Amino acid sequence: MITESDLRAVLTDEARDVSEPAEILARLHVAERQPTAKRRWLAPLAAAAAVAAAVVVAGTLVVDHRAGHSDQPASTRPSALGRDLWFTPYVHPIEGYDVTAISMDNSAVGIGVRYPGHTDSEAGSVTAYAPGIWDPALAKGSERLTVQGRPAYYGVMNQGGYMLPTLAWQSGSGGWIVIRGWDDSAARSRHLDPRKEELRVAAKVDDTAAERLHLPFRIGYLPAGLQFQMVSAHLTKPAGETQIMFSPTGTTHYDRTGTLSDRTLPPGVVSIILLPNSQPGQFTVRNTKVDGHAADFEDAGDGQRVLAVDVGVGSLTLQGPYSKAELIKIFRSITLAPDVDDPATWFDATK
Amino acid sequence: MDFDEFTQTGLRPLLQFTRALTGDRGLAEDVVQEVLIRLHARGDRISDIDHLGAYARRMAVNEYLSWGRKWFRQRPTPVLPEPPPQSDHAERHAEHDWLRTELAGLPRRQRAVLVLRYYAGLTDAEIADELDCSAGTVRSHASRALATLRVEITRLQELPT
Repeated sequence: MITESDLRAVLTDEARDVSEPAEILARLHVAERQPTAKRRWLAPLAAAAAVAAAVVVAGTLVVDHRAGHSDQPASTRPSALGRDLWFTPYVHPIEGYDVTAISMDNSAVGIGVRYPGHTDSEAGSVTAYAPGIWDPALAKGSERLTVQGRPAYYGVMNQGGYMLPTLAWQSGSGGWIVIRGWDDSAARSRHLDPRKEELRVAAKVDDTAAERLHLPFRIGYLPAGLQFQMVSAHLTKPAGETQIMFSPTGTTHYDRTGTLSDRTLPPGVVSIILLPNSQPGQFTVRNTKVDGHAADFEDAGDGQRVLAVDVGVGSLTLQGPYSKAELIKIFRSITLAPDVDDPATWFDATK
Repeated sequence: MDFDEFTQTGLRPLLQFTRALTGDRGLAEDVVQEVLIRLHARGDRISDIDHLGAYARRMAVNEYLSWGRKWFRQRPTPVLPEPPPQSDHAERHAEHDWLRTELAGLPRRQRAVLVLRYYAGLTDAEIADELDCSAGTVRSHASRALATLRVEITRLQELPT
Protein backbone atom coordinates (compact mmCIF):
# COMPACT_ATOMS: atom_id res chain seq x y z
CA MET A 1 0.00 0.00 0.00
CA ILE A 2 1.26 3.43 -0.91
CA THR A 3 1.23 5.96 1.90
CA GLU A 4 1.80 9.67 2.24
CA SER A 5 5.35 8.97 3.34
CA ASP A 6 5.89 7.14 0.04
CA LEU A 7 4.62 10.22 -1.74
CA ARG A 8 7.01 12.42 0.24
CA ALA A 9 9.87 10.02 -0.47
CA VAL A 10 9.20 10.00 -4.21
CA LEU A 11 8.98 13.78 -4.41
CA THR A 12 12.13 14.22 -2.32
CA ASP A 13 13.91 11.69 -4.48
CA GLU A 14 12.90 13.55 -7.64
CA ALA A 15 14.03 16.82 -6.12
CA ARG A 16 17.54 15.46 -5.70
CA ASP A 17 17.88 14.97 -9.45
CA VAL A 18 18.89 18.50 -10.39
CA SER A 19 21.79 20.20 -12.09
CA GLU A 20 24.25 22.25 -10.11
CA PRO A 21 22.96 25.81 -9.71
CA ALA A 22 26.26 27.05 -11.14
CA GLU A 23 25.48 25.24 -14.38
CA ILE A 24 22.12 26.97 -14.64
CA LEU A 25 23.70 30.34 -14.01
CA ALA A 26 26.48 29.68 -16.48
CA ARG A 27 23.92 29.30 -19.20
CA LEU A 28 22.41 32.64 -18.43
CA HIS A 29 24.23 35.68 -19.55
CA VAL A 30 22.66 37.71 -16.86
CA ALA A 31 25.17 40.51 -16.91
CA GLU A 32 24.19 41.51 -20.42
CA ARG A 33 20.49 41.73 -19.71
CA GLN A 34 18.69 45.01 -19.62
CA PRO A 35 16.68 45.35 -16.45
CA THR A 36 13.45 45.98 -18.28
CA ALA A 37 13.93 43.59 -21.16
CA LYS A 38 11.62 40.60 -21.11
CA ARG A 39 13.18 37.66 -22.82
CA ARG A 40 12.32 34.06 -23.34
CA TRP A 41 14.47 31.33 -24.69
CA LEU A 42 14.78 27.68 -25.41
CA ALA A 43 17.51 25.45 -24.11
CA PRO A 44 20.46 26.09 -26.39
CA LEU A 45 20.84 22.69 -27.90
CA ALA A 46 17.15 22.03 -28.04
CA ALA A 47 16.79 25.34 -29.74
CA ALA A 48 17.86 24.04 -33.09
CA ALA A 49 15.30 21.32 -33.00
CA ALA A 50 12.49 23.35 -31.57
CA VAL A 51 13.11 26.72 -33.05
CA ALA A 52 14.83 26.35 -36.23
CA ALA A 53 14.26 27.54 -39.47
CA ALA A 54 14.84 29.49 -42.75
CA VAL A 55 12.39 30.19 -45.36
CA VAL A 56 12.99 28.60 -48.66
CA VAL A 57 14.34 31.22 -50.93
CA ALA A 58 12.69 31.60 -54.27
CA GLY A 59 15.08 31.30 -57.14
CA THR A 60 17.55 28.95 -55.52
CA LEU A 61 18.61 25.81 -57.28
CA VAL A 62 16.29 22.96 -56.36
CA VAL A 63 18.05 19.71 -55.57
CA ASP A 64 16.83 16.47 -54.07
CA HIS A 65 19.90 14.92 -52.50
CA ARG A 66 18.27 11.51 -52.30
CA ALA A 67 16.39 11.32 -55.58
CA GLY A 68 18.55 13.47 -57.82
CA HIS A 69 17.84 16.81 -59.35
CA SER A 70 14.34 18.14 -59.60
CA ASP A 71 12.83 20.49 -62.10
CA GLN A 72 10.32 21.86 -59.63
CA PRO A 73 10.70 25.44 -58.47
CA ALA A 74 11.20 26.20 -54.84
CA SER A 75 8.11 27.31 -53.00
CA THR A 76 8.24 30.51 -51.02
CA ARG A 77 5.61 29.42 -48.55
CA PRO A 78 4.57 25.95 -47.48
CA SER A 79 0.93 25.14 -47.92
CA ALA A 80 -1.53 24.16 -45.23
CA LEU A 81 -1.45 20.45 -45.88
CA GLY A 82 2.29 20.13 -45.56
CA ARG A 83 2.83 20.22 -49.27
CA ASP A 84 5.56 22.28 -50.87
CA LEU A 85 7.85 21.94 -47.89
CA TRP A 86 11.33 22.64 -49.14
CA PHE A 87 14.17 23.68 -46.95
CA THR A 88 17.51 25.43 -47.21
CA PRO A 89 20.29 24.87 -46.32
CA TYR A 90 21.31 21.30 -46.93
CA VAL A 91 24.06 19.92 -44.70
CA HIS A 92 26.21 17.33 -46.43
CA PRO A 93 27.51 14.36 -44.41
CA ILE A 94 30.16 15.37 -41.87
CA GLU A 95 32.82 12.92 -40.76
CA GLY A 96 32.35 12.13 -37.08
CA TYR A 97 28.79 13.40 -36.90
CA ASP A 98 25.26 12.51 -37.88
CA VAL A 99 23.00 15.12 -39.38
CA THR A 100 19.87 13.94 -37.68
CA ALA A 101 16.98 16.31 -37.41
CA ILE A 102 15.33 19.34 -38.91
CA SER A 103 12.89 21.85 -37.57
CA MET A 104 11.48 24.64 -39.67
CA ASP A 105 8.90 27.36 -39.65
CA ASN A 106 8.31 30.31 -41.92
CA SER A 107 11.26 32.25 -40.53
CA ALA A 108 14.04 29.75 -39.97
CA VAL A 109 15.35 26.26 -40.60
CA GLY A 110 17.37 24.46 -37.94
CA ILE A 111 19.33 21.29 -38.47
CA GLY A 112 20.67 19.20 -35.63
CA VAL A 113 24.17 17.71 -35.65
CA ARG A 114 24.86 14.81 -33.31
CA TYR A 115 27.72 12.59 -32.38
CA PRO A 116 27.36 9.18 -34.07
CA GLY A 117 25.06 6.64 -32.55
CA HIS A 118 22.49 9.07 -31.22
CA THR A 119 23.65 8.28 -27.72
CA ASP A 120 24.75 11.77 -26.83
CA SER A 121 22.91 15.00 -26.77
CA GLU A 122 23.05 17.22 -29.79
CA ALA A 123 26.59 18.40 -30.50
CA GLY A 124 25.40 21.53 -32.19
CA SER A 125 23.09 23.00 -34.74
CA VAL A 126 22.96 24.88 -38.00
CA THR A 127 20.22 27.47 -38.18
CA ALA A 128 19.42 29.57 -41.21
CA TYR A 129 17.40 32.65 -40.42
CA ALA A 130 15.36 34.66 -42.86
CA PRO A 131 16.64 38.20 -43.40
CA GLY A 132 16.06 40.57 -40.53
CA ILE A 133 15.86 38.04 -37.72
CA TRP A 134 19.34 37.29 -36.41
CA ASP A 135 21.10 40.50 -35.51
CA PRO A 136 24.75 40.63 -36.70
CA ALA A 137 25.44 43.19 -33.97
CA LEU A 138 25.67 40.17 -31.67
CA ALA A 139 28.96 39.38 -33.39
CA LYS A 140 30.53 42.67 -32.36
CA GLY A 141 34.08 42.09 -31.22
CA SER A 142 34.19 38.57 -32.65
CA GLU A 143 36.94 37.11 -34.75
CA ARG A 144 36.56 37.83 -38.46
CA LEU A 145 37.16 35.02 -40.90
CA THR A 146 35.86 33.64 -44.17
CA VAL A 147 33.35 30.85 -44.73
CA GLN A 148 32.64 29.73 -48.27
CA GLY A 149 34.14 32.93 -49.56
CA ARG A 150 31.89 35.11 -47.42
CA PRO A 151 32.79 37.24 -44.41
CA ALA A 152 32.02 35.38 -41.20
CA TYR A 153 32.28 35.85 -37.46
CA TYR A 154 33.33 33.47 -34.74
CA GLY A 155 32.98 34.10 -31.04
CA VAL A 156 30.93 33.41 -27.96
CA MET A 157 27.56 34.95 -28.71
CA ASN A 158 24.24 35.32 -26.99
CA GLN A 159 21.31 33.13 -27.87
CA GLY A 160 18.34 33.90 -25.70
CA GLY A 161 20.50 34.40 -22.66
CA TYR A 162 22.91 31.56 -23.30
CA MET A 163 26.44 32.34 -24.33
CA LEU A 164 27.54 29.81 -26.92
CA PRO A 165 30.46 29.34 -29.28
CA THR A 166 28.97 30.65 -32.51
CA LEU A 167 30.00 30.86 -36.14
CA ALA A 168 27.83 33.07 -38.36
CA TRP A 169 27.89 34.23 -41.93
CA GLN A 170 25.45 35.89 -44.28
CA SER A 171 23.84 33.69 -46.89
CA GLY A 172 23.09 34.68 -50.45
CA SER A 173 19.48 35.38 -49.45
CA GLY A 174 20.55 38.08 -47.02
CA GLY A 175 19.67 36.03 -43.96
CA TRP A 176 22.26 34.62 -41.58
CA ILE A 177 23.43 31.07 -41.14
CA VAL A 178 24.43 30.44 -37.53
CA ILE A 179 26.24 27.41 -36.17
CA ARG A 180 26.21 26.94 -32.40
CA GLY A 181 27.06 24.31 -29.85
CA TRP A 182 30.07 22.19 -28.90
CA ASP A 183 29.74 23.58 -25.45
CA ASP A 184 28.55 20.61 -23.43
CA SER A 185 30.24 17.92 -21.39
CA ALA A 186 30.29 15.55 -24.37
CA ALA A 187 32.30 18.07 -26.39
CA ARG A 188 34.65 18.71 -23.48
CA SER A 189 35.22 15.02 -22.84
CA ARG A 190 36.16 14.63 -26.49
CA HIS A 191 38.52 17.62 -26.21
CA LEU A 192 36.81 19.26 -29.16
CA ASP A 193 37.65 22.80 -30.17
CA PRO A 194 34.28 24.49 -30.89
CA ARG A 195 35.83 26.83 -33.46
CA LYS A 196 37.42 23.99 -35.37
CA GLU A 197 34.29 21.84 -35.26
CA GLU A 198 31.98 24.64 -36.33
CA LEU A 199 34.25 25.48 -39.26
CA ARG A 200 34.21 21.79 -40.25
CA VAL A 201 30.41 21.82 -40.21
CA ALA A 202 30.26 25.15 -42.06
CA ALA A 203 32.24 23.63 -44.92
CA LYS A 204 29.42 21.15 -45.40
CA VAL A 205 26.58 23.66 -45.42
CA ASP A 206 25.04 24.25 -48.82
CA ASP A 207 22.73 27.24 -48.94
CA THR A 208 22.44 27.31 -52.71
CA ALA A 209 19.99 24.42 -52.93
CA ALA A 210 16.48 23.81 -51.69
CA GLU A 211 15.98 20.36 -50.27
CA ARG A 212 12.80 18.31 -50.18
CA LEU A 213 11.38 17.61 -46.75
CA HIS A 214 10.14 14.07 -46.20
CA LEU A 215 7.53 13.19 -43.61
CA PRO A 216 6.29 9.83 -42.28
CA PHE A 217 2.67 10.75 -42.94
CA ARG A 218 0.42 12.61 -45.30
CA ILE A 219 -2.51 14.68 -44.14
CA GLY A 220 -5.58 14.75 -46.36
CA TYR A 221 -7.80 17.03 -44.33
CA LEU A 222 -7.47 19.98 -42.00
CA PRO A 223 -10.13 22.43 -40.79
CA ALA A 224 -10.38 25.53 -42.95
CA GLY A 225 -8.25 28.58 -42.35
CA LEU A 226 -5.08 26.92 -41.13
CA GLN A 227 -1.58 27.58 -42.37
CA PHE A 228 1.68 25.77 -41.85
CA GLN A 229 3.24 26.81 -38.53
CA MET A 230 6.21 24.56 -37.93
CA VAL A 231 7.49 21.06 -38.45
CA SER A 232 10.19 18.99 -36.80
CA ALA A 233 11.33 15.69 -38.23
CA HIS A 234 14.27 13.36 -38.27
CA LEU A 235 16.54 12.77 -41.21
CA THR A 236 18.03 9.43 -40.19
CA LYS A 237 16.90 6.01 -39.01
CA PRO A 238 15.55 5.34 -36.39
CA ALA A 239 13.50 8.43 -36.96
CA GLY A 240 12.02 9.29 -33.60
CA GLU A 241 9.21 11.74 -33.26
CA THR A 242 7.74 13.89 -36.02
CA GLN A 243 5.60 16.90 -35.25
CA ILE A 244 3.81 19.33 -37.53
CA MET A 245 1.72 22.28 -36.45
CA PHE A 246 -0.75 24.51 -38.20
CA SER A 247 -2.34 27.75 -37.04
CA PRO A 248 -4.51 30.53 -38.41
CA THR A 249 -1.54 32.86 -38.84
CA GLY A 250 1.42 30.54 -39.33
CA THR A 251 3.67 33.16 -37.83
CA THR A 252 6.40 32.86 -35.24
CA HIS A 253 8.30 35.63 -33.53
CA TYR A 254 12.02 35.63 -32.81
CA ASP A 255 14.13 37.99 -30.81
CA ARG A 256 17.35 39.47 -32.17
CA THR A 257 19.38 36.52 -30.89
CA GLY A 258 17.35 34.10 -33.00
CA THR A 259 15.30 32.74 -30.14
CA LEU A 260 11.56 32.35 -30.18
CA SER A 261 10.40 35.43 -28.32
CA ASP A 262 6.97 34.03 -27.54
CA ARG A 263 6.32 30.36 -27.12
CA THR A 264 2.69 30.84 -26.29
CA LEU A 265 0.54 28.75 -28.57
CA PRO A 266 -1.37 30.89 -31.03
CA PRO A 267 -5.12 30.43 -30.76
CA GLY A 268 -6.45 27.65 -32.94
CA VAL A 269 -3.17 25.82 -33.34
CA VAL A 270 -3.35 22.18 -34.44
CA SER A 271 -0.54 19.78 -33.64
CA ILE A 272 0.00 16.32 -35.10
CA ILE A 273 2.68 14.08 -33.61
CA LEU A 274 3.77 10.66 -34.78
CA LEU A 275 5.80 8.66 -32.28
CA PRO A 276 7.06 5.30 -33.63
CA ASN A 277 7.01 2.28 -31.36
CA SER A 278 10.82 2.35 -31.31
CA GLN A 279 10.61 5.42 -29.08
CA PRO A 280 9.69 5.63 -25.40
CA GLY A 281 6.76 7.69 -24.23
CA GLN A 282 3.82 5.87 -25.80
CA PHE A 283 0.51 6.76 -24.21
CA THR A 284 -1.06 4.28 -21.84
CA VAL A 285 -4.50 5.69 -21.13
CA ARG A 286 -7.01 4.03 -23.43
CA ASN A 287 -10.53 5.28 -22.96
CA THR A 288 -11.97 5.00 -26.45
CA LYS A 289 -11.55 3.39 -29.84
CA VAL A 290 -11.19 4.92 -33.28
CA ASP A 291 -11.82 2.60 -36.21
CA GLY A 292 -10.84 -0.33 -34.02
CA HIS A 293 -7.63 1.33 -32.78
CA ALA A 294 -7.17 1.82 -29.05
CA ALA A 295 -7.22 5.53 -28.33
CA ASP A 296 -7.32 8.18 -25.65
CA PHE A 297 -9.40 11.33 -25.88
CA GLU A 298 -8.94 14.06 -23.30
CA ASP A 299 -9.80 17.65 -22.68
CA ALA A 300 -6.43 19.31 -22.14
CA GLY A 301 -7.89 22.57 -20.88
CA ASP A 302 -7.94 26.00 -22.50
CA GLY A 303 -10.25 24.61 -25.17
CA GLN A 304 -7.60 22.18 -26.38
CA ARG A 305 -8.51 18.53 -26.91
CA VAL A 306 -6.15 15.65 -27.45
CA LEU A 307 -6.76 12.47 -29.38
CA ALA A 308 -4.03 9.84 -29.19
CA VAL A 309 -4.45 6.75 -31.34
CA ASP A 310 -2.42 3.55 -31.30
CA VAL A 311 -1.82 2.97 -35.00
CA GLY A 312 0.09 -0.27 -34.55
CA VAL A 313 3.50 1.05 -35.62
CA GLY A 314 3.33 3.84 -33.09
CA SER A 315 0.99 6.51 -31.84
CA LEU A 316 -0.56 9.47 -33.59
CA THR A 317 -1.47 12.34 -31.29
CA LEU A 318 -3.66 15.14 -32.55
CA GLN A 319 -4.25 18.26 -30.49
CA GLY A 320 -6.36 21.26 -31.27
CA PRO A 321 -9.40 23.31 -30.31
CA TYR A 322 -11.75 20.94 -32.04
CA SER A 323 -14.38 18.37 -31.21
CA LYS A 324 -13.60 14.69 -30.97
CA ALA A 325 -15.41 14.15 -34.27
CA GLU A 326 -13.26 16.76 -36.02
CA LEU A 327 -10.04 15.32 -34.63
CA ILE A 328 -11.15 11.88 -35.79
CA LYS A 329 -11.83 13.33 -39.25
CA ILE A 330 -8.24 14.63 -39.39
CA PHE A 331 -6.96 11.30 -38.12
CA ARG A 332 -8.84 9.37 -40.80
CA SER A 333 -7.31 11.55 -43.50
CA ILE A 334 -3.75 10.65 -42.47
CA THR A 335 -1.79 8.08 -44.45
CA LEU A 336 1.34 6.57 -42.90
CA ALA A 337 4.57 5.86 -44.76
CA PRO A 338 5.58 2.21 -45.21
CA ASP A 339 8.16 2.43 -42.38
CA VAL A 340 7.65 5.26 -39.91
CA ASP A 341 11.15 4.64 -38.56
CA ASP A 342 12.91 4.94 -41.90
CA PRO A 343 12.95 8.34 -43.62
CA ALA A 344 13.99 6.63 -46.86
CA THR A 345 10.40 5.40 -47.16
CA TRP A 346 8.67 8.65 -46.26
CA PHE A 347 6.46 10.91 -48.31
CA ASP A 348 7.90 13.80 -50.23
CA ALA A 349 6.29 16.80 -48.54
CA THR A 350 6.86 18.96 -51.61
CA LYS A 351 4.30 17.03 -53.63
CA MET B 1 18.33 39.99 -0.43
CA ASP B 2 19.56 40.94 -3.91
CA PHE B 3 19.65 38.80 -7.03
CA ASP B 4 23.21 37.53 -6.50
CA GLU B 5 22.50 36.56 -2.91
CA PHE B 6 19.41 34.73 -4.02
CA THR B 7 21.31 32.72 -6.63
CA GLN B 8 23.84 31.71 -3.97
CA THR B 9 21.41 30.55 -1.33
CA GLY B 10 18.00 30.22 -2.91
CA LEU B 11 18.66 28.73 -6.31
CA ARG B 12 19.29 25.14 -5.28
CA PRO B 13 16.12 24.86 -3.17
CA LEU B 14 14.16 26.46 -6.00
CA LEU B 15 15.62 24.00 -8.50
CA GLN B 16 14.79 21.08 -6.22
CA PHE B 17 11.26 22.26 -5.61
CA THR B 18 10.68 22.83 -9.32
CA ARG B 19 12.11 19.42 -10.16
CA ALA B 20 9.59 17.82 -7.80
CA LEU B 21 6.87 20.07 -9.16
CA THR B 22 7.43 19.26 -12.81
CA GLY B 23 8.68 15.70 -12.58
CA ASP B 24 11.02 16.57 -15.41
CA ARG B 25 14.59 17.78 -15.07
CA GLY B 26 14.72 19.68 -18.34
CA LEU B 27 11.40 21.38 -17.82
CA ALA B 28 12.39 22.27 -14.27
CA GLU B 29 15.52 24.00 -15.55
CA ASP B 30 13.54 25.88 -18.17
CA VAL B 31 11.02 27.02 -15.58
CA VAL B 32 13.72 28.09 -13.13
CA GLN B 33 15.60 29.98 -15.80
CA GLU B 34 12.42 31.79 -16.73
CA VAL B 35 11.99 32.73 -13.08
CA LEU B 36 15.58 33.95 -12.84
CA ILE B 37 15.21 36.13 -15.89
CA ARG B 38 12.05 37.67 -14.53
CA LEU B 39 13.61 38.24 -11.15
CA HIS B 40 16.67 39.81 -12.68
CA ALA B 41 14.49 42.04 -14.81
CA ARG B 42 13.09 43.50 -11.61
CA GLY B 43 16.57 44.85 -10.85
CA ASP B 44 17.03 46.46 -7.48
CA ARG B 45 13.34 46.13 -6.70
CA ILE B 46 13.72 42.49 -5.72
CA SER B 47 15.33 43.62 -2.48
CA ASP B 48 11.89 44.98 -1.58
CA ILE B 49 10.36 41.51 -1.79
CA ASP B 50 9.80 39.76 1.52
CA HIS B 51 10.53 36.04 1.54
CA LEU B 52 12.14 36.02 -1.88
CA GLY B 53 12.40 32.22 -1.85
CA ALA B 54 8.64 31.85 -1.46
CA TYR B 55 8.09 34.53 -4.07
CA ALA B 56 10.30 32.70 -6.55
CA ARG B 57 8.57 29.42 -5.73
CA ARG B 58 5.24 31.01 -6.50
CA MET B 59 6.59 32.28 -9.80
CA ALA B 60 7.76 28.76 -10.61
CA VAL B 61 4.33 27.31 -9.83
CA ASN B 62 2.62 29.87 -12.05
CA GLU B 63 5.10 29.27 -14.81
CA TYR B 64 4.58 25.51 -14.56
CA LEU B 65 0.80 25.82 -14.60
CA SER B 66 0.89 28.01 -17.70
CA TRP B 67 3.47 25.90 -19.51
CA GLY B 68 0.82 23.81 -21.27
CA ARG B 69 -0.18 26.84 -23.28
CA LYS B 70 3.32 27.18 -24.66
CA TRP B 71 5.26 25.46 -27.35
CA PHE B 72 5.12 22.11 -25.75
CA ARG B 73 2.72 19.44 -26.76
CA GLN B 74 0.66 17.61 -24.24
CA ARG B 75 0.69 13.91 -24.39
CA PRO B 76 -0.99 11.27 -22.26
CA THR B 77 0.97 9.40 -19.66
CA PRO B 78 4.25 7.63 -20.37
CA VAL B 79 5.07 3.95 -20.50
CA LEU B 80 3.15 1.59 -18.24
CA PRO B 81 5.51 0.17 -15.64
CA GLU B 82 6.00 -3.55 -15.22
CA PRO B 83 4.12 -5.34 -12.42
CA PRO B 84 6.11 -5.17 -9.18
CA PRO B 85 8.41 -8.00 -8.14
CA GLN B 86 7.70 -9.93 -4.95
CA SER B 87 10.41 -9.00 -2.50
CA ASP B 88 9.65 -6.19 -0.05
CA HIS B 89 12.48 -3.97 -1.21
CA ALA B 90 11.78 -4.57 -4.87
CA GLU B 91 8.07 -4.14 -4.31
CA ARG B 92 8.62 -0.79 -2.62
CA HIS B 93 10.90 0.24 -5.48
CA ALA B 94 8.22 -0.78 -7.98
CA GLU B 95 5.57 1.08 -6.02
CA HIS B 96 7.66 4.23 -6.14
CA ASP B 97 8.17 3.84 -9.86
CA TRP B 98 4.47 3.38 -10.22
CA LEU B 99 3.81 6.43 -8.12
CA ARG B 100 6.15 8.53 -10.25
CA THR B 101 4.28 7.44 -13.35
CA GLU B 102 0.91 8.21 -11.85
CA LEU B 103 2.11 11.56 -10.57
CA ALA B 104 3.25 12.40 -14.08
CA GLY B 105 -0.25 11.71 -15.34
CA LEU B 106 -2.02 14.01 -12.88
CA PRO B 107 -3.43 17.33 -14.05
CA ARG B 108 -0.85 20.00 -13.29
CA ARG B 109 -2.90 21.82 -10.69
CA GLN B 110 -3.46 18.58 -8.77
CA ARG B 111 0.23 17.76 -8.90
CA ALA B 112 1.10 21.27 -7.79
CA VAL B 113 -1.16 20.88 -4.76
CA LEU B 114 0.48 17.59 -3.79
CA VAL B 115 3.99 18.99 -4.20
CA LEU B 116 3.20 22.10 -2.20
CA ARG B 117 1.61 20.00 0.53
CA TYR B 118 3.91 16.98 0.75
CA TYR B 119 7.22 18.39 -0.50
CA ALA B 120 7.11 22.06 0.44
CA GLY B 121 5.12 21.37 3.62
CA LEU B 122 2.59 24.15 3.11
CA THR B 123 -0.79 24.16 4.78
CA ASP B 124 -3.92 24.12 2.64
CA ALA B 125 -4.48 27.78 3.46
CA GLU B 126 -0.95 28.64 2.33
CA ILE B 127 -1.41 26.59 -0.83
CA ALA B 128 -4.67 28.38 -1.50
CA ASP B 129 -2.85 31.68 -1.23
CA GLU B 130 -0.11 30.43 -3.53
CA LEU B 131 -2.53 29.19 -6.17
CA ASP B 132 -4.96 32.06 -5.72
CA CYS B 133 -7.92 29.83 -4.93
CA SER B 134 -9.88 28.76 -1.84
CA ALA B 135 -8.70 26.21 0.70
CA GLY B 136 -11.72 24.13 -0.28
CA THR B 137 -10.51 24.00 -3.85
CA VAL B 138 -7.08 22.94 -2.62
CA ARG B 139 -8.61 20.09 -0.60
CA SER B 140 -10.68 19.10 -3.61
CA HIS B 141 -7.59 18.94 -5.84
CA ALA B 142 -5.67 17.01 -3.19
CA SER B 143 -8.52 14.62 -2.61
CA ARG B 144 -8.96 13.89 -6.29
CA ALA B 145 -5.23 13.45 -6.81
CA LEU B 146 -4.88 11.09 -3.87
CA ALA B 147 -7.96 9.18 -5.00
CA THR B 148 -6.43 8.77 -8.43
CA LEU B 149 -3.24 7.44 -6.92
CA ARG B 150 -5.22 5.01 -4.75
CA VAL B 151 -7.18 3.81 -7.75
CA GLU B 152 -3.95 3.10 -9.52
CA ILE B 153 -2.65 1.29 -6.45
CA THR B 154 -5.66 -0.99 -6.58
CA ARG B 155 -5.07 -1.59 -10.26
CA LEU B 156 -1.43 -2.34 -9.56
CA GLN B 157 -2.35 -4.98 -7.02
CA GLU B 158 -4.75 -6.58 -9.45
CA LEU B 159 -2.09 -7.05 -12.11
CA PRO B 160 -0.92 -10.64 -12.54
CA THR B 161 2.51 -11.34 -11.11
